[in-house]
Amino acid sequence: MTHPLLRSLSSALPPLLLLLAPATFAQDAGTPAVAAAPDKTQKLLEQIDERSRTFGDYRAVVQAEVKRASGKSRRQLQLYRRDTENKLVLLITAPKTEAGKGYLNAEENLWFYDATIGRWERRTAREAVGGTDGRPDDFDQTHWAKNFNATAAGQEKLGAVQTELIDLRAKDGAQVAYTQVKLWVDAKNGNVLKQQDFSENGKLLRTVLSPKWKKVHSPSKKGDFYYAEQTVIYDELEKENSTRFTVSQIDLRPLQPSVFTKGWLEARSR
Amino acid sequence: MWIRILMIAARNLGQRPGRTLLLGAVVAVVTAVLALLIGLAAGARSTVLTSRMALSSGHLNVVGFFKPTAGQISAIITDYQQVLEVVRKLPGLDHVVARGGGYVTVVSETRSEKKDLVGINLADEPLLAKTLRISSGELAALQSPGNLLLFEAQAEKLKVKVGDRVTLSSTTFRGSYNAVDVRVGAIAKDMGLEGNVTTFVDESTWRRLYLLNSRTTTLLQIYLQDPDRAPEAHAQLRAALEQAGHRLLPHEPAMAYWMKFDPLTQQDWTGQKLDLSTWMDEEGVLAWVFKGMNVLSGLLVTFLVLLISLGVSNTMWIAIQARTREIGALRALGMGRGSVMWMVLFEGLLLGLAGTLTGALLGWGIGTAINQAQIPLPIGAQLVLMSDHLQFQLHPLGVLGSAVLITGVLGFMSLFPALSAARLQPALAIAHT
Repeated sequence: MTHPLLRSLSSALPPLLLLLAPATFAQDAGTPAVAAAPDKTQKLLEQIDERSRTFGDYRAVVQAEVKRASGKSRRQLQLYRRDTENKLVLLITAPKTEAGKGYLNAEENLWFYDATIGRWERRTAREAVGGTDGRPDDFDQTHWAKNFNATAAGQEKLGAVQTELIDLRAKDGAQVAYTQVKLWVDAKNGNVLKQQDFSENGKLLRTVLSPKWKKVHSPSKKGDFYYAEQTVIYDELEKENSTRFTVSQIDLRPLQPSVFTKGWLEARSR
Repeated sequence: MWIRILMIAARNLGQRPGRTLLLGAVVAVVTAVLALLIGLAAGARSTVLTSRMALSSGHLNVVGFFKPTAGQISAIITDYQQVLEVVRKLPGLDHVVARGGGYVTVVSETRSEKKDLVGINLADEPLLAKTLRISSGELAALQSPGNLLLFEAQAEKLKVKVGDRVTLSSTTFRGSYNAVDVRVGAIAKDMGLEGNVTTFVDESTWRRLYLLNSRTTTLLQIYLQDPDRAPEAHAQLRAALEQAGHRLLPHEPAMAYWMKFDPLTQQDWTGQKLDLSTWMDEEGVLAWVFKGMNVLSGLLVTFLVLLISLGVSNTMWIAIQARTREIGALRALGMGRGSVMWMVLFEGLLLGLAGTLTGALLGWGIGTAINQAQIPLPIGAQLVLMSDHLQFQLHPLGVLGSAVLITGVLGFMSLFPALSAARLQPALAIAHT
């Protein structure tokens, strides 16, 4: 079953994890308190997006703990991003059976490299990455403001944390996996603590909890870059399925341009 | 004269009842085996084709592939009525069925399974209604929105029964996720591989899941009055659709439409293209299974026929050796070479005819008994044969053909000893010790 503490966040009950550990959320004294007026809500989305961008390169190690009805398994991935060019590489490094497989998202095409047969395949952005509950978008910079219209839905306490609740509806023609989304944004600092993704007809499909946020100074951005150090994604249809992602070893130094090529990904498995 | 020769040949066979019965029994067994093998292959092919035609393929199929961008592909025909107009003018057309398709996760309270989803309008599906064997619930449930048909193995895996609710989840053709709740309206008996991977839902629920309007479908299954005309009709329809301005994918024989997603995703074109295939193309891997089955049974039967032919021929040689003096006497009494040859040949033919007719009756009887016994098949065989029990299709002509073939071969093999007997010199033959 899912983690009882984190699971409780997705229910109407007081979220224990947040109640007990509000200090774990990154504080940003520079970010003003969130206002709920319609125009300001859209502004807030822009702020959230801006916080998720490095305006340069980004490298991290992602540990994934996958829970299924059949049992638990672990994955390790190397994440590479070049936010200015909307490029992303996800290289699976563990377990051994999966190592070398990877994804390349470049020029609005998602490619999957299967190292076991040495073949590239085009995939859709809805692909579940390496058998986890995460999609490529979950590892990338966010584009909430570009793709969604926001409506303030009031304030809600998530444990001890006061949050702004925002309803999002996809804009016409937006290429998004979930056309209806709810965000619980920390009113103090703009961290997205909880996200619920709904189907086109309003059925809850996923709950994403991100209780731990961190910030890193980005020289290319000349400001701070924010990332969720720990994220748990719950599948709300297949209730036994969930994945906990832990991000570490953040490195914002420039990457070689060759990293975002098929050749580089192929070379990792040789 | 012929009757007299025939009677002599029959009497010769009767003089050695042990040998005749043994050889006749061997011939009968081989004939029965041949008839059963032919019946098994025909039965399997017929079951598979009937099931396939009902579940997943028409005699001709028109599938739409739509690519909004080079990297995305959906199996849909936009404005399918325009395509339908062309199809309806096809000579020899019996009827057309429009079906929606997709790949869904079926989620029950305790389990989930990934399946091909087919959206149907039950009123347009007489063949499907005739082919499905409902074990629980009512097929008519699919006439109402929000009802799903599962096969027994699927229901068992999902741990659901008729009346239970499940959720269908999929990505829409726009790329976003959607889910609908449906009720298990009917459970059908398993039908092999197709039945294992396919589920059916009413058309309106399919549209609700994929957010599609009534002008869109996935597949047009076209049924012809004469299925054997499929290749000819395929060429005619291609020409007609091209003339009507539709873009078509090149014909790829022996490639089912679901096998085309990956290669087409790699291609750079965008927009709508139609793919035309025949039921033979859609047979795909199964065509190879049947070819393999035919080759194996052909080899087995050839070996057996060769074996009994050599046996009969050898027995004839021995008989002629033993009856050399008798043949010499017949020749001395005025029997011509031709009559001697026919006498020996008739022996072989009579033996063959009696054996093969007995074998044909034996094969027919065994096949009919097995059909009536409804002997269950193991899962592996069910997946290929699309049936949960062993089924022989015994056509009288097929069984009779087996008998004629083996009799003919035995006659041919008797020809050599017969010619040898005809060449015997009467004086030398009488002096033979």
